[in-house]
Amino acid sequence: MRGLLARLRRALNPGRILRITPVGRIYLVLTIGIGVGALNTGNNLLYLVLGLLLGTIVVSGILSERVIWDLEVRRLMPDGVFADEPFPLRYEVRRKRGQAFALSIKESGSIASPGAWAPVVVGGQPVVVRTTATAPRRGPWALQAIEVATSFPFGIFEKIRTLRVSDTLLVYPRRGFACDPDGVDRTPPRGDSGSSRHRDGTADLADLRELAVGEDARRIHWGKTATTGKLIGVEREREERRQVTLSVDAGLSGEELDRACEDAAGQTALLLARGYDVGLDVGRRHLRPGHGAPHERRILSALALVGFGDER
Amino acid sequence: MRGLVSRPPGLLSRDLAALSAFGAVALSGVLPLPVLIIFPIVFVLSLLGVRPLAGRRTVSVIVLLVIGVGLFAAVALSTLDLVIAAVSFATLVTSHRMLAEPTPQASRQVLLSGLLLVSGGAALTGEALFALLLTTFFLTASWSLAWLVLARDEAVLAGGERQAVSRQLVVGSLTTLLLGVGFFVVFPRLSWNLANRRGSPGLGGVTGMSDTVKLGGGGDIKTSVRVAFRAELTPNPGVDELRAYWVGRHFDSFDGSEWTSSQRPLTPAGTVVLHRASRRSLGQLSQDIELTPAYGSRTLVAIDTPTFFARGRGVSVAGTQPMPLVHVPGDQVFGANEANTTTYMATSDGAAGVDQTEPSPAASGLPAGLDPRVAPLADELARGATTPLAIARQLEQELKRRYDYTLDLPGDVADPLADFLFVRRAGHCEDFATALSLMLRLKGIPSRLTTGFFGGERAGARYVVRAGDAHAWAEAYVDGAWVRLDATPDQGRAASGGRWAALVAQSWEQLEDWWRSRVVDYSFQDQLSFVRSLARPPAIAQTQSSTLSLPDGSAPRAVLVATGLAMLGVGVWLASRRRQASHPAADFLAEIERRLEARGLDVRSQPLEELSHQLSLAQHPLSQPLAQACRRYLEARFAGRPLTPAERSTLLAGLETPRR
Amino acid sequence: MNAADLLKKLHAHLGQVVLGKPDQTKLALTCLAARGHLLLEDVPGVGKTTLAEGLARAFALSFARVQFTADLLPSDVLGTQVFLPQQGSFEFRAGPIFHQLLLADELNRAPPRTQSALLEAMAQGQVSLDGVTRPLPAPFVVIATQNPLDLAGTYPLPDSQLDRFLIRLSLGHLDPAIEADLLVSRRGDPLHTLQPVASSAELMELQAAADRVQVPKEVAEYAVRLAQETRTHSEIERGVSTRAVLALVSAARAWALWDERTFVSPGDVRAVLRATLSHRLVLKSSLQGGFSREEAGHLVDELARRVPAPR
Repeated sequence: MRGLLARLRRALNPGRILRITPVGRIYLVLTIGIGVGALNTGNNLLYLVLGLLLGTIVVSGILSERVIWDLEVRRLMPDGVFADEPFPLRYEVRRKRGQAFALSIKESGSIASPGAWAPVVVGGQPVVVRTTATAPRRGPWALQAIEVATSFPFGIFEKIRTLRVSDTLLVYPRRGFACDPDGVDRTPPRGDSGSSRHRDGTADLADLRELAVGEDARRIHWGKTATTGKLIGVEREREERRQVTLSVDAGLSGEELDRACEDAAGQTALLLARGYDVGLDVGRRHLRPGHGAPHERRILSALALVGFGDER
Repeated sequence: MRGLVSRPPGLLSRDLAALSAFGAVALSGVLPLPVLIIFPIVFVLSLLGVRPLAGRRTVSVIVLLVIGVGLFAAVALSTLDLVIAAVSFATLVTSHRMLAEPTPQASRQVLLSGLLLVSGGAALTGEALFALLLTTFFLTASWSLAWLVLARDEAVLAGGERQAVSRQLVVGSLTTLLLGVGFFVVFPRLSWNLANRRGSPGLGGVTGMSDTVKLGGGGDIKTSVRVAFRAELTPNPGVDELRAYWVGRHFDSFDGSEWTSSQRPLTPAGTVVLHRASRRSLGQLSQDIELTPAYGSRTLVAIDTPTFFARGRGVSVAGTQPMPLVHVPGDQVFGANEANTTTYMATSDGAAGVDQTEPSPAASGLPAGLDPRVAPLADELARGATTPLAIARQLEQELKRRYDYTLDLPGDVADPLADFLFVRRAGHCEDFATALSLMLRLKGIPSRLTTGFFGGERAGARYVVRAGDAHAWAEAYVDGAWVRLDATPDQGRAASGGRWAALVAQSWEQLEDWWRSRVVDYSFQDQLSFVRSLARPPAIAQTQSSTLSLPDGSAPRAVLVATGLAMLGVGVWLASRRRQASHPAADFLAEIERRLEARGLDVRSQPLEELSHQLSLAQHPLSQPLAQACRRYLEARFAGRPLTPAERSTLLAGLETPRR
Repeated sequence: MNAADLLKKLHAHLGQVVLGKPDQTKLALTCLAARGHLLLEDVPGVGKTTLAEGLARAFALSFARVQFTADLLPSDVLGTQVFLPQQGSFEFRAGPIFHQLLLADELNRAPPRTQSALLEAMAQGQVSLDGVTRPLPAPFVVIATQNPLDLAGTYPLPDSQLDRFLIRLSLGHLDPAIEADLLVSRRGDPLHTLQPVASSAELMELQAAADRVQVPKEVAEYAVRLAQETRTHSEIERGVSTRAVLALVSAARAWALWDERTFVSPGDVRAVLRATLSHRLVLKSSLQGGFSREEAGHLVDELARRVPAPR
């Protein structure tokens, strides 16, 4: 019984919005005018024109319904995007059978986007269309619904259907110019004393060379020493790198917190480019210093999520 | 030619739509000459991609507005009809938008003002050619609108996608046409008269059946093709051209420029008996007559000589009601109430009938300021005749011989009769009838002027009489009875041209006739009978249509044929577009695709090679022959190994029937 | 046996070990026939190595597999001069690169120095060490695999070096139905039971046959138009190079062999388009990673739809 009611409700309110385009408005005014003229004069040719105009409206409704009916849309999103920067957003549109024409697809939420355009979608063959979108602020954005609209066939009416498709888009802080952070040592490292971690054997290998006199025996790469018959020592990447841990005060909120996150993100990029290992301390979340693209992304994700109660 | 090739989609159809809209208006022949000249030039320029108004929006709009103000000033000074001014202005607006930048907006504006033109054309013409232009306009305009919708973002559609769109559009436009015809058939035809004068028959002219007949004056005589009334005759004379005189009114008083009647009406009654039927006339004609809104008067007509009127009914917004009839002896019979459509029954004695009504005193009176030259002229024309009847016949013949027929009106002259007889020596039926009856009176014979219709064409089981068939003639009271005298020269069309031309003309006339009776004069009555025919059991409806009215059955057939022709045209056009490939092998490819499509495969969404691959993966029965055909196509197209005709037909045959 | 039959036989044969990937296998064979090197890019465990080894076994090629790691040195791949005290001379110990088929597993884990040593050898078809130039065997094929997820401790291949690979493929996860079949039926490693069905000489004949395939003028223009589109596309930072167009056409030539054709058709070009071009595009969106790879593929597909093919 309940299912029947739900079905009935869905049938009565199929989630369509009908909008009249500017051309359509003029068209309707003309139709009404010609209709009044026909009724008034009894001129049969005006009735004929009126009949065709009304027929066009009916056919318009039928064809646009055929287009908008039976559509599936899926978002194809980047893993993360920067706030205030256009990013490519793709939609995969498919339908089981039949054809759809002149679809314009856009987000119904607050992500600004001109909308993607799919001129033709043939049944059984998914079509991927692209638009560029811009997220105004950092954070996890819940994308909930997609609006599919078509003004096919005659551009008189625009039929809009809203599809519920949920996704979360992670928006990194805005990229911008960053100042040097305070308290970062800028003197080049010297000898074994440069780093606290040069001997722990965890960092990536940079080079192999014969062990020099007086060097720590922990440098020896035993495998290579065995193959070559000489003592081969290892130089590790991290010896050249120094560590900085940035922190964002989680007590901030709103605009200030955003600004702090942007600064931290900018400094991260700057320091990584200079060859530092960068760590992050924000609220309950702590990231150990590291480098490389994936590490940068981890930092950016953490910065994106600060203040959204989702700081895993 | 480059302009033609690199046009944005939908532009060609837009221009064609504008052309047919213009044609629909031009058909009426009322457009001023400058407008008639401007539009074709604009069309050619637009076709060639020349757009002189691009980027000159302000200046050109000001010019356009000035022209518009000029046109409507002409309307205010009543030198131009409002409708004509409006369509002229709409034509200029269309031309203006066609020569501006071809943006989607401009194209839509062209189409919308084209729609205005078409409706203007509907108001101004009744030609059958209008149907063709209207159909063309709607097809091309919807085509253009659809491509404007699709041409966003400059996305280029693949050939297959374009075909998918085209197919959907063809289906859509044909459905639109059918729906339009459906609306036309069922939309109730009641004249609602929302803002018009009472009883106005609308645009397109009326018969001129009025209370007086006035000679002279300006304007032009309506040669309208609108049907004034329809009559079903029993017994059916069975001829195509009835050539009968239909009597409406008699007038007996003439004041020098205007005929009026001196008679008084009797009380309304259900039936009116004019004369007892003459014993000599065995072939009495019974008529069921329907006066259409275009008739524009309440006077009842019947074939000469009417004897009896009855069963009056008026169809109006309120429904069908009995209509009392009012008899004005010696003048007319008219319906007592206003009605949109009036039906009644009448009987006539036919050609042998005799009207023996006593002439009133006014039937011998002469106007005060009669030109002195008229009496000598009457004497001269009647010279040699002795009996009153001979005098009357001789006057009739001489007038007919010596004066010409013309539809030009003299304008405002002091004495229209003298102007006709001595200045212009040409006139129309009222001039002839007036001159004749006055001459009769000068010779001492009582006379009167009769207005009515002459003609009657067969349309199905009935005869139709058009507004343009309105006529006037004189009657003389000779030997105790009224004798009809028609001095108006015959203006029968001279048969000319060869047999083929005659055949073409004839079929065109038939088409026109069908168009007029089925479309232009489609009425509430027709709707009622249509509904009744639907309600009737099919068997009866069938016998009815086969015995009574063949053209009734042929009407839907004609609609089907027209629709089919339209479909065929679109199909041929699409096919020709598809054939435009340059390489000879492309023709083979098109044939392959056609066969695959006939077998229900989707050849539009992907190239042939990919389709062939997919079929072989799916182990489709066609995959083997298709792979061969595809391979041979590729060889012929890219490897320079042309197909022999035999090979070609073998390969194509393989696609017709799957191999085991 | 002609080229198409041979290819189809190999395809069927490989299908026994690489399950449910007929399209990818077909592209891999095409790559070999076009004398190209193959880059397999996918998450671990979807059968990249199986495909590479299967190819080697099917052609009976001499085969070496190198697991690229952070401490792999160029000499570990190319070979080293070893001093023999007894003879008082140096002897060259050939590295794994001196095999007909080299499987470079997880190529992006090795430091750039090692990567570029390998890729230079691939490009030149020879190894120069200490002033001595040693030619690589013929046929010579490198099949490299890499993990697309940007895990820590990887060195992504520079764009210029990606260009050395003719075709980039990703295998993708198995169809669930086939995966279930696999669990039911697989006993032991089918690779061990895979018998050679062709010889390395036959591979070279295949390559020679591919070279003989003609490229009609219209099809060449079509390929160039496609390349041109990548250079003017608003989403693409850097379009494909002329080398890429050459690669596209040579892959299309090999693809034509499947159909026993002596000329390239537009369909051949489309068939190899995505696999040959998508890794050579540099997109404008600065974010790298899995999304950008997918994005490039979509862009290439879009191009194929947009550029009208000769018909």
